[in-house]
Amino acid sequence: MIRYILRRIVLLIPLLFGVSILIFVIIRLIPGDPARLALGAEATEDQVQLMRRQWGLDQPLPVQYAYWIGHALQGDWGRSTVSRVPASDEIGLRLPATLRLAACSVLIACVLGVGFGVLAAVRHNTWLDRLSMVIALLGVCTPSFWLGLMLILVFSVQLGWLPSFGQGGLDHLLLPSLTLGAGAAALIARVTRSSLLEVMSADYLRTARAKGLAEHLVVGRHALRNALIPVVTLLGLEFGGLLAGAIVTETVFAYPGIGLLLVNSIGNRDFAVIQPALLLFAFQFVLVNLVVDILYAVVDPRITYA
Amino acid sequence: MAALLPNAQHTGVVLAVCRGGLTMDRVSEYGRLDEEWQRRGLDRRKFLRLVAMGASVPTLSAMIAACRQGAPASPPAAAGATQAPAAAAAPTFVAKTVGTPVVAVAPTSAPRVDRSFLVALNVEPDSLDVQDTFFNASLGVDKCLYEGLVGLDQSMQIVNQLADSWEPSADAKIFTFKLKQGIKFHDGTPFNGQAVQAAFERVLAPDAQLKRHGYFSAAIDHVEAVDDATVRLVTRQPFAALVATIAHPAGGMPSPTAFKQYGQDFGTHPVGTGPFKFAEWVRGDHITLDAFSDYWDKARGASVAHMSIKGISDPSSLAIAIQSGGAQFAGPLNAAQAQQLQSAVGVKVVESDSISVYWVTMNDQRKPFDNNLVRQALNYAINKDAVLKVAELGKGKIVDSPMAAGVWGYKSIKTYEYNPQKAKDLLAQAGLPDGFKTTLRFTAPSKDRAVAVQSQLQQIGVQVEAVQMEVPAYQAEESKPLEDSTTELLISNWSPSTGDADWALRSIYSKTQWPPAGANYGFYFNQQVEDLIMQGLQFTDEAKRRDAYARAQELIMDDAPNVFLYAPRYFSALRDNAAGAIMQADGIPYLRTAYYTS
Repeated sequence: MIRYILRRIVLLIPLLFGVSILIFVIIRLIPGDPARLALGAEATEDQVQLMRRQWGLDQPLPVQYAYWIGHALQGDWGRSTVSRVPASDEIGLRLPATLRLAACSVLIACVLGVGFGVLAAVRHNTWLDRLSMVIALLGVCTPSFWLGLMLILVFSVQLGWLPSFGQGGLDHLLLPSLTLGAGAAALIARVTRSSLLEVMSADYLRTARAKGLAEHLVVGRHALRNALIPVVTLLGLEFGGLLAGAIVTETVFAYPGIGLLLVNSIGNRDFAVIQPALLLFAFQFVLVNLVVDILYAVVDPRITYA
Repeated sequence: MAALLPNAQHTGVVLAVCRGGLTMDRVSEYGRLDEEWQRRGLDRRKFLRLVAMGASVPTLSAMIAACRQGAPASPPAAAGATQAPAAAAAPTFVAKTVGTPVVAVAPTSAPRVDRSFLVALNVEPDSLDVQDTFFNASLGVDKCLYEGLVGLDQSMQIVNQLADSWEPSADAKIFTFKLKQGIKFHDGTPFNGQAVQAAFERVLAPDAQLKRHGYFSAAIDHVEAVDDATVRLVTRQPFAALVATIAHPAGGMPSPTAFKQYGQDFGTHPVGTGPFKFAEWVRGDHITLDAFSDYWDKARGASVAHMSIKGISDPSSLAIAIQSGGAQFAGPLNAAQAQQLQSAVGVKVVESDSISVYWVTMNDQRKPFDNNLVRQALNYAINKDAVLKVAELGKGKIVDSPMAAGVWGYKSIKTYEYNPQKAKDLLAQAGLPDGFKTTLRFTAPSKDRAVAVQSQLQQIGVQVEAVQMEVPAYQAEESKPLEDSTTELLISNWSPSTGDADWALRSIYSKTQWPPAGANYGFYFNQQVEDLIMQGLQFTDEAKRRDAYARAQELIMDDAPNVFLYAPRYFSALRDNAAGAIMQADGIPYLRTAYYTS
């Protein structure tokens, strides 16, 4: 197991190098000149040329890449061309907020999703099942900007219980993570239900019931555990996606996450920020996938890695 | 952000004098006062004309008095904690771009209370280095932190800040400023002639690549400190608009000790002389400023102990921030949100003039737009009121000059009325009876404008392909030199960054500003206009300057290089217990006088 994990981590290195080259080339293929964007319409052409030279944008791409990756390996990711703040700060200072939001949303998605899913499966073909699935369907279909604004209107404007924007304590986190978690919860509820239904009629469950096990133990210990694999996969994907920021939700709640930073940086062709941000997302995604693979073994002891 | 990039900020000048004289808390009186203006049969334009003709000061005072009669003698009495600030003394009427100094008597500020004032803007500032930003949001915060030798008050009039007086040389090339004495920056560094010289040298150095380098270096050759109390700004060529140019917030004075110490990090460690000093910046979330207790002008210091600034880029969320009481001031709001907030409890919506102008750029060097008849036809073909209604819910003013009425030097020339038949006739005269095909480029915020223009041009047989582009790609295209340019039609906007006719006209209509050098994206050129714009920079006599610009405006309107549209209105909102913050006519939020009424 340890050897497997180590091997996966070592494999990360060539993967990230490949990704860094892809990122580097792709963002330079989209039209727009970072120097002109940074200096504005008032700048003379001479000034723009000077800035291109200062930033090395006049060099061939391989030279630019070597310079960038060389400095990055020493911890220098360059400075934002817009704010002049070091790119590592722009991203690093927003990362905790994004992690908090992603973790909180996944927690909500997990609790609500698995809860509704189990309920629906256990009460299969009753009104509870149908109600749960209609709610889940609505959850999948509701656009997050609409849900976010509705939550704000009810809880911030009408009731005045929760703040409508910014970050801070748990109260600031509740509405945005509910907005984000709702969609994921709906998806998880549906997957949990269908995968539970598949195992519900299995022989080992009949055996468990026959030996007189209480129903909640039958479902909780025997059925759910066998049904969890697709749910864990889905949770991993959702979490990986949330770590790359949730642009719409961040915008609606004016939440200082990475998603909004990335969108604004792309709009300004702020290469210094775009590059490490995308690289970080790739890294996080690979890492989450690794954790998901390990969780498979935890959830289902029949799975082993050598 | 504006559709066009660095929505150049400006310093405006003559705004309605009646409004200019009001203290901020009376913004709610605006509507009523406006009515009063009308009843007295003296509209703003007539008033400006009077000023231009040299109405004497007593006459003006009488008019001010008249216009004030409707307003209460003092702001609504505060319930407890806060006293309302004293009313302004007679304001300066016309921004002096040259000549005698303005003696500004700004209203005194409300007594300070130990509370925090939360300002919600439509975008987070990018940098608080006053010489390194184009963002209106950043400049709004900068106006709390920094002051220039001269500055612009909330009604965009030039006021003395760190300078006591100034004197231009007869050839409009050397401007000598007398500085106030005994002022210190937030970090204790003394403010003096050397500090001014160091600040300008910082932005004038090409290697530093500060965003405002181009703005200042186009005008200023060098700056020399004569002694502690005197400084000389020397321009490259006669530059009569210099004072307006440095009154822009980018002319704020940064502490030389601080910018040397922090270098590239000065943008997150700003130090100036203003009524607020920088406390912290949680990036992506908020900026906090503290009242500066040693501010030099005791009567006009900060009225709240802390001010927080938060960027909320979703328009609905911005409106909700003020509606839910999370913020005390929110702006700029778009017309739809402002309308929606009108009915909200505990919120007052403020509507104000802008000096921003929208138009459709035509590539004047390209067929068929190189023909004056075609350009005029397009001007007649568009129902500007309809565009205004679609894009701004009808809130704005159809322009009758290449620049907005709030800009110094403005003259009402004419409007091309909506007349599709005449447009068709003109096209036929130009040899295009069946119209033609063309492409209109625009960025997302101008979508409504573009669609309205497209459908109206269709009526006269001009088939427009409307192409929405992302800002950087759009800018890359429009900035190409003439030989590579593919520009046909563009939705454009300009807000002249000095509030002076020079920057309103030169940047858009002078050949020196043809891309890639500047923003004359339509490649307009008329030698007479070129000469008049240059003349305007040489006179130190205001009347002569005005004449030159008036003639230039006439010529431009006749040439019809663009399809002239409108100047929109600006909206912001305050909680019922808050006052003293507003959107300036140039789109920069004015925040330093913010206070609580209860």
